[in-house]
Amino acid sequence: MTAPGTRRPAVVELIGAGPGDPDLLTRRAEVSLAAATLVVTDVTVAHLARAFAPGAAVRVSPAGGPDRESIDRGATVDGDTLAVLIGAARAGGSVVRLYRGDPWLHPAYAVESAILASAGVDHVTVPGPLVELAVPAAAGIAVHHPRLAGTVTIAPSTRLPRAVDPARTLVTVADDADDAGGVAARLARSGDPDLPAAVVVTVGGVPRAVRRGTLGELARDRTLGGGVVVVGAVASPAAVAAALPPGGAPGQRGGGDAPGADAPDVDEPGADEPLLSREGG
Amino acid sequence: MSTAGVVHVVGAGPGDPGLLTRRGARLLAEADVVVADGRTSDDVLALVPSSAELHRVGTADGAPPWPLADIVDLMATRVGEGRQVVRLEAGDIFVASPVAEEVAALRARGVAVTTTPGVSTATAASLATGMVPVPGSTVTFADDSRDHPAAFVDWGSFDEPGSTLVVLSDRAHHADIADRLTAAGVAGTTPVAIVTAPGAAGASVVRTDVAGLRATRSAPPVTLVVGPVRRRARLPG
Repeated sequence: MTAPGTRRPAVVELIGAGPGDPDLLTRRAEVSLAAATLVVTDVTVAHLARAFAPGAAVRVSPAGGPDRESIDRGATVDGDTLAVLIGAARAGGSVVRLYRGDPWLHPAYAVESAILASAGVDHVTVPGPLVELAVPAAAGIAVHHPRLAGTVTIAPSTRLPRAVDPARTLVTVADDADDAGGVAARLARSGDPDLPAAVVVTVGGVPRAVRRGTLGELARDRTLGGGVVVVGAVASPAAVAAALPPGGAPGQRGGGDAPGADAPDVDEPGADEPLLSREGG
Repeated sequence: MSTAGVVHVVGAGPGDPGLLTRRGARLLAEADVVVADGRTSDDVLALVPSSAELHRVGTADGAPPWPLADIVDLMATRVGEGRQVVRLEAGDIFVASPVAEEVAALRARGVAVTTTPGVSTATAASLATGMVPVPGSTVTFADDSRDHPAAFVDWGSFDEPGSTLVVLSDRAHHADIADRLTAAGVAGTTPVAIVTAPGAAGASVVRTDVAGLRATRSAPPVTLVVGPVRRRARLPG
């Protein structure tokens, strides 16, 4: 607690907001936003800042935006953003920098935290759900699977590795500027077009539907728009159902070779799969 | 009117109850039955309602983990009674976790399941190392769990310069990992941070490099952050 008459030390909270779903905000983030006087936010999670920090001034930062094609060390620095953060913190405000996803993988975090430190402004970092893990999980897709996939690689859509191994899950975010069909097409050209894949279509960071098929099939779908692309065996409900160990779940149908209760029999691209795994409300 | 039972799979986060998501906290507060793994923190378990039935099904205090069939049976039975079941898994629900099989088995039995992701222990532990991925590079999370048949790691695929590798391991075989990385062409000078007890209050970080990894010892579970990866220089001729 700060003694009367002394100035609060300058501190900025660097907070991960998750993918944008208000229900995936952490409790700690909710408390910090409620007390904030200034929030500098990524545009993709600005709706959370406005909803949860009603008493704060909200400023949208251009650094580390959704267009990852423009991201490099130079592009992650926005001088105005940093000047505002530093000035407000020094003035004793409750200052939050709100990042989409988790700070650790956010392209602006390293530079912004270093510049704050060099300016004598302390920072506290609060993790959040990583977009590339949280969106598939919210849609019921397991990026790791004890019998199907031991690694998951998260890649920017502009630097995609070759996808050739169904046991290595690959996840990338295709934002509106770089639609999921285009990402699938590039992956199909450079790797194995027959790999299973899924696109979790999101609105405001909230999964709305899942399209499944092979990479080649999804590459031909021009209606996908933005979303999170998952490549590998884990994207196939049939493969996941078939991986159940015999006798692993008494009462299950067919000893693991039957599709799950809410899994489509055929991974058909072009048809939205309802999200039965979403909690209502 | 009776309520339909549901299994809600919830990521418990790395340990701090403040890192539970809003939905996860709400579902926990409304739970009739909580089925938790062995690594969910006591601080999070303190949020389980006193009226709820609590089962620890993972490895905790030396107890062996429950078999998959027993976990699924328990949850399916409680759902059949119209209960709201929360399956708590430390960190995120599907990262280095056995939950994917439980979800598939429940769905195969026609049990309603919802999934609520959490803050990953892998990213929280990596953040604690002070090492940050190069913007625009790839990051790979590898499940090195002893009990997962698919937890094989293709170490040869991690020599991409600038990439970061995070290994989630429940065994202490640092020398083996160092040998495999070296064989894959990763330079011995590539930085490595070892986080012991990731997510716990007593978590600690040891910094070394791939060459120095062989000489380190730490009790599992550990999170290893390797990177940014540097490719080993090739000798002429």
